[in-house]
Amino acid sequence: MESSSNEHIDYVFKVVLIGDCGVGKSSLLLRYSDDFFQESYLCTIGVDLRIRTISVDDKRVKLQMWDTAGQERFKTLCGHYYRGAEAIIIVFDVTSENSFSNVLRWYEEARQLSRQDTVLVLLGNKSDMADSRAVSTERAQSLAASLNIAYFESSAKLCDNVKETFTATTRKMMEAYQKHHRAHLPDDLTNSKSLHMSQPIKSSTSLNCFDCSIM
Amino acid sequence: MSVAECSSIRLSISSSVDGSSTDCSSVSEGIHTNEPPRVSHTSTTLQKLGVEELKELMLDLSNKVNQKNTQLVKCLRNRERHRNRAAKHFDMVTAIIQAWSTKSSADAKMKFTIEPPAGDANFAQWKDAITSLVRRPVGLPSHFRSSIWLSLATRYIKDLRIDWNKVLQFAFNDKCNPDDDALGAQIVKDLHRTGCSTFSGIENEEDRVILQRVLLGYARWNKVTGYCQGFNVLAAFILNVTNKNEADALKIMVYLVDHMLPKEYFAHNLRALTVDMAVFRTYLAMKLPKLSAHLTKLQQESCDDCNGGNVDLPLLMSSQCSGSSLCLLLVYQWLLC
Repeated sequence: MESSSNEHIDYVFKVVLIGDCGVGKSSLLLRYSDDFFQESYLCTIGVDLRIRTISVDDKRVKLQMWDTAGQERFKTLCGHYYRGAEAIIIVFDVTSENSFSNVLRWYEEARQLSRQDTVLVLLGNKSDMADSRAVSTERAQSLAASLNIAYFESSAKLCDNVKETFTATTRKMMEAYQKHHRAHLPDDLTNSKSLHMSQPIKSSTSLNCFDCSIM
Repeated sequence: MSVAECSSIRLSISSSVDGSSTDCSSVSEGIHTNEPPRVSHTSTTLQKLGVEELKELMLDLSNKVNQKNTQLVKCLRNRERHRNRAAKHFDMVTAIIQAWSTKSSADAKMKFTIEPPAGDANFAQWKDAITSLVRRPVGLPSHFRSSIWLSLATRYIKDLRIDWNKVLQFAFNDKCNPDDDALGAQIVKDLHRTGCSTFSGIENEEDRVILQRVLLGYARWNKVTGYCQGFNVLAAFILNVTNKNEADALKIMVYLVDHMLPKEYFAHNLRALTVDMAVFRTYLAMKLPKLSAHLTKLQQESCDDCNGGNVDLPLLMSSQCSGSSLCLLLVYQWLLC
């Protein structure tokens, strides 16, 4: 599954994860990119990046996944990233009513700042915590349906449905891309430039500056 | 022997002397635990004694006083010797700092000590010396940080001419204020995510309570800035230096965020941070042109490549963003050492 250098890449997609503080955005990415879970050690300050290359329907896809800070005042800063994204995953915590009621605000901002062809997805995380669940699957599904976006439910902790969510989102991005660029296909995808992308960045690398912090 | 011990001896002597005529329960507070237990003299017990016994007692007490006096003099001499030695070391550090300096007239006046001397001019010279030391690659030795940061912060608070005790009362008030709920919820979410192991584990619940009080205290003090993600990291770091003293930590935090950093650095939409990123980017291009060019190239390729269109983002933006974190780290380091 993982990429080696010089390999052929068909698509490079940028995915941005947004949502309230503490819903598990970083944990989802950590699970997906490194298959690892830990209680968060440091809240995301600003923006973090993780990368993973996957195969979907015989295509090699490199996902650049941007992790954003959840606090309100970082929104302007993180909003810059929406425009470049092929997909925006709005994450909420199924045990937190509050994080669910904020989904609409996140959605509106994402719509406003992203491109027309950007895929939006709703993701309810912490599905393992059945006892303290506050938002039912049905409610979340009906909200997603009313916004005309897909809904997924996952548990970063138990590694439940994380990979599936990203794969399905990737498939949607590929569809959106093909729809948008039908005129230019297929040459665009295999031009030489796309090969450059795979070289400098190793798979699943965190560029979070705090990893090498002096503290 | 420390100053505290000296004063303890002094207390013991005065108690002994007083104790010869009046109640003497405090005599037992002597510093040497291996001394024989002291006898308590009261006017009733003394009245029962004969002249010879009283004389003997007098002699005994006066011997003890002499003994303590000798000890005290020894302590004072020791203290003087240590002070002189420290002063010599300070002079040496001052000389080194001046050798590093640009040798301007202000530089010549720099004088290093741990505690700031009294007087505005002296304080300024002391601060210059500390600043100069901090700018050296090694920075300030960590065991001096607590005292020096606190001196700087205390001075800043003093210049504000406010009743700091009242501020403390308000900041650490156990009662809830109207804004506390929203603030508290956000702070609690981040308490265990400080990147600092002493606050992260399950067993560090008590430390997290202190951290929460400092963060809430700051948010109450500065309502415009309130709580910004990242403050938890700062406050945890400061608390480690102040030995978990929350009042000192709050003072240093106020000094850092309100005074050292640009005005309202963490407030609103973090506009000041965006400026810092731009500055960082410029510096990067100036100081590390190869790295900067590499990032620009990656950015360009990413734009060309990425599935169509002029995507005005990632890598350079990411360099800006990590730049901002870096800047923040540098700023932490800058004040905090």
